[in-house]
Amino acid sequence: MALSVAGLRIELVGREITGRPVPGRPRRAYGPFLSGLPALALISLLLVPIVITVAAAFRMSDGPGLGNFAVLKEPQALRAIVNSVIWIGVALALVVAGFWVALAGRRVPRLWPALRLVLVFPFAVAVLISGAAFRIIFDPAPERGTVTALVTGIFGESPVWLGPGLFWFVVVSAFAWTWLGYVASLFRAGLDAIPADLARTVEAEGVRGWRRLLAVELPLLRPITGVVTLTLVVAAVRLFDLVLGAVPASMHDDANVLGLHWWRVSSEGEGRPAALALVLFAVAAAVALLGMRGLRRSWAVPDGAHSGASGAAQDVRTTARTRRRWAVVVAPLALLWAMPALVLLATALHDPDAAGVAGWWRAEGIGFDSFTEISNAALWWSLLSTALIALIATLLVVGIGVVTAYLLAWGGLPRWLGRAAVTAFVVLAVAPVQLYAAPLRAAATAAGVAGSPVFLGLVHAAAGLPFAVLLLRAAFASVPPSLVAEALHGQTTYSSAIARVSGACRPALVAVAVLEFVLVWNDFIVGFLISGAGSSPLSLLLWGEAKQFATSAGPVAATAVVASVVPVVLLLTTWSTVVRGLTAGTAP
Amino acid sequence: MASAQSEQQQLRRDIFKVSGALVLSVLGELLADGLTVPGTVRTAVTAALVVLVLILVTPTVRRLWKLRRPPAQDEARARLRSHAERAQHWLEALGSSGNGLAAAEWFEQEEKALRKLLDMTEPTADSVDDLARIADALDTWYVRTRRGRELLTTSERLSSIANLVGRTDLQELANLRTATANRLLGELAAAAGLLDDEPVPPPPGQANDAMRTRRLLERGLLHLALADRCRTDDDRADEARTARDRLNEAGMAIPRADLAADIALHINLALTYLYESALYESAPDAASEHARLAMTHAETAHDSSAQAHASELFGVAATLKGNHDEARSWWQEAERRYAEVGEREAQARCLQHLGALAVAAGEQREATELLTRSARLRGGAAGHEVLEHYLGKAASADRDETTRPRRAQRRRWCAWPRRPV
Repeated sequence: MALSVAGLRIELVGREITGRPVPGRPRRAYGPFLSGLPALALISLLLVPIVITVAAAFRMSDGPGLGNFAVLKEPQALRAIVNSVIWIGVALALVVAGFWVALAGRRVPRLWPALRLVLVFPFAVAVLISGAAFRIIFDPAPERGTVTALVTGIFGESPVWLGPGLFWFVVVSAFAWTWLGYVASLFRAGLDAIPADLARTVEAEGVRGWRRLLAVELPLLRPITGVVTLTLVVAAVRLFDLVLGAVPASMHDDANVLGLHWWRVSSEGEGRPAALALVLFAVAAAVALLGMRGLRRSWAVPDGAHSGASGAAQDVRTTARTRRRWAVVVAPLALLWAMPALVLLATALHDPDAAGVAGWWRAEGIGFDSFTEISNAALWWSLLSTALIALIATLLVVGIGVVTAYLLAWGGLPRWLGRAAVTAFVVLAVAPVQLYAAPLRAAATAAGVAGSPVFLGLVHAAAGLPFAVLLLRAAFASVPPSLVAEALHGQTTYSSAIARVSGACRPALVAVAVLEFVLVWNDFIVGFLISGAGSSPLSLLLWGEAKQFATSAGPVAATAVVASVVPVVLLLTTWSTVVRGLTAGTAP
Repeated sequence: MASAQSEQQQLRRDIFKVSGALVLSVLGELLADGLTVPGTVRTAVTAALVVLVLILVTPTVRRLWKLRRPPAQDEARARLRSHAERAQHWLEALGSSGNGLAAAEWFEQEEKALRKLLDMTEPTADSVDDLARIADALDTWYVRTRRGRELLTTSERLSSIANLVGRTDLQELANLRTATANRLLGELAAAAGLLDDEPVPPPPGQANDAMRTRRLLERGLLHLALADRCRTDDDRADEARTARDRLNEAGMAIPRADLAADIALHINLALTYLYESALYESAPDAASEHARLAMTHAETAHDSSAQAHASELFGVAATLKGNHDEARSWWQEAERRYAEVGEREAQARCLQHLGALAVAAGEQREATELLTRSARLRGGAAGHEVLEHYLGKAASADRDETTRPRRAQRRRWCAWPRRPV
């Protein structure tokens, strides 16, 4: 071959390997394999209880059998299954709604930052808190419940929103309130990453409207749609605390879902709940494995697509009239979404007595009395304990997650082992707490560590690790393979490789750390089902207060506000990076 | 410091010896005691002693068995083996700093005899390995001298030998060498055809990874050759990127002990990066890094030929940085090293680079001398396009130079009245 360099023609040849082939295996560093051990140790905290649960599900008093699964034939369980299927439908509808909000957001570029802030805010709030907010809004007493007061004012009387049938409206609203921002943000990131030249070409060809949506955007967004749908469907299948918090106990029979039903039968020995947990897990795992087909593609987010520097298609060019028309649709949505948060804040700013008897809109009793009432040693202790648990879990998940993701992405594992590990992580990522709660609680109680923040932190880390590993692995894998090969082969290019890899993977790291911290901070279900009375994370404290809901709206709202400050600030300040991290490898 | 270390090591050895002796004496006593106890214990101890003696004696017996002389009646086979061993010996010396030149001279003299032996010997299951060793030696020699035609015939012969005795591993090796020969001859489509089909079933044995490395490396080199034929820069960049990917894959498959493959990999990666740097007019940092790694490995392996190859690439990197003086010194070093190991073709290539530099610097006389030496080493410039190009340039510049003084004189003569002004 000949090179033309600085006016010179230089003839060059390569170097062949000649002679006898040298026997032997390639260099394989065993270090990376060892790096899988911490993850294995942490995950065994879930695996061992899962095995115990599976064994319990098939164990009858007279030997192994399927008798425990008869629990599914009971009317209550059937109702729970039907309701869970309905929730899957709700999740799918929400994906569609979120997509439309993302599309609408592109037509109102100026409103989008504010709209995103309002939509994402609920995602940072604990599910239990959103349940509390919706209970305040839909309180049956017209003097306290916002919607009841409004409807009574207009029509003279109002139905009981949290009564039979209508409670669905409340819980679905609460679910949508929590998740819509997440869905819309991810879709928006995907839409922004569609290359500008492709968008221009399509427009020049005259492909617009529905045709453009069907022919260009939806196919390109398939991976993101996969991720979003997977997250929401799994959330719907695992639904527990929202129903527990938002629906009054008298309605639990009607609102029963699989997760809740497990809790209700968990006192009846160990076989029947184990069988239920296994069914719950099977449904979630099936959904996840189906979703994995969409996730297996190797995607890569164009670098800088999110910062708008790459020339990716940004906001759609629209006329002022269109923007105004869309603003009319979007602005009320933003107001509606801000409402529950405002209601919580306003209720918290009333003294306990005033909040208990009158609505948040009344001027009487405004003050910080609710905050004063809750600010006792228990609150500060649970804040501290929650922070400690979240910190332990986050540090463990990030530390072990990075090492494990490295092993899966570039560790040189045999292909079958890598695939098996990824599949196992996908399945574990969606494993419901109910699957390992009972054996873990029994073991922790026996060991006397049930209330220890360190133990809870470990369990949270184990539960969060699979998702973190999958996310980080996708981010690592989106780095050009040649770069990695060079870094692994010639030590010299390591520094530049590390610089590029860390540049590409930083968003995923931030996403993992922030989401783990926020999810653990907001967690109710793990603490509730596993921890004993010794520990007191915030959400358990809130749950205790919310039991006397009608009388303690003020303190509940105040606790909710205090509990939400840290996750909300953390998530909202890092949201754009978190989205970039979540979509690392999922954009078109 | 060093003496303290060696003292420590000595102490460790002494401790080891003493403890070993203690353990042995204790074991000996135990065994001796055991022999005195009648019944099962004695049987067990006797069995243990027999096993111990077998363990001690077996390696020596095996070594002696291997060293046994071949049967006298099989003289032809013995001759073949002796040739194969000599060929292998000189093959290992080829390009080395100690015996490289002697090896090159041996190959020049013996090449025909080796070819004849390879072509005429009837392959059998016993002789096939010796024939393969001779083919290995010829392969290396032809690749070093860039003789594609001869490489092709040798590889085809190896292929037929492998077919006759049913050796799939040799068949695969012959295929790869045929691909290399085709590439050297410019038959890129034929080479690609041979590399496209994966070996089915995979050849048995321990050398699977080595074969995979070679296949991927050859693919990389093929893509570089294809890049050279592309019409647009975009296509060239695509091919170069593919070449780099294949080479990186090859890097993951190199057997632990294959230093030569390591060297070849880094040299080819350096070459690919140089190609890309020339294409994008970017700094050749990555190329220099790989050349440096190749140089380090080559020093470890005492491979002068590879050191020269790395120096040659350093020179190209220097020209990419616009540093012609540095390039000249690298190429001079490369030329010297190639000369030391008798690689004439490569030496001629370096002289050609130096000649090109001299042409660019306007040093016509020096350029002509260098390029003529290059042509002489190659047995003429015909078929060497770049060499012909520069020889033509040097000759025309030389003509200009001989006519220039007269013009200058004329100018001077015309200009003299103006001088005082």
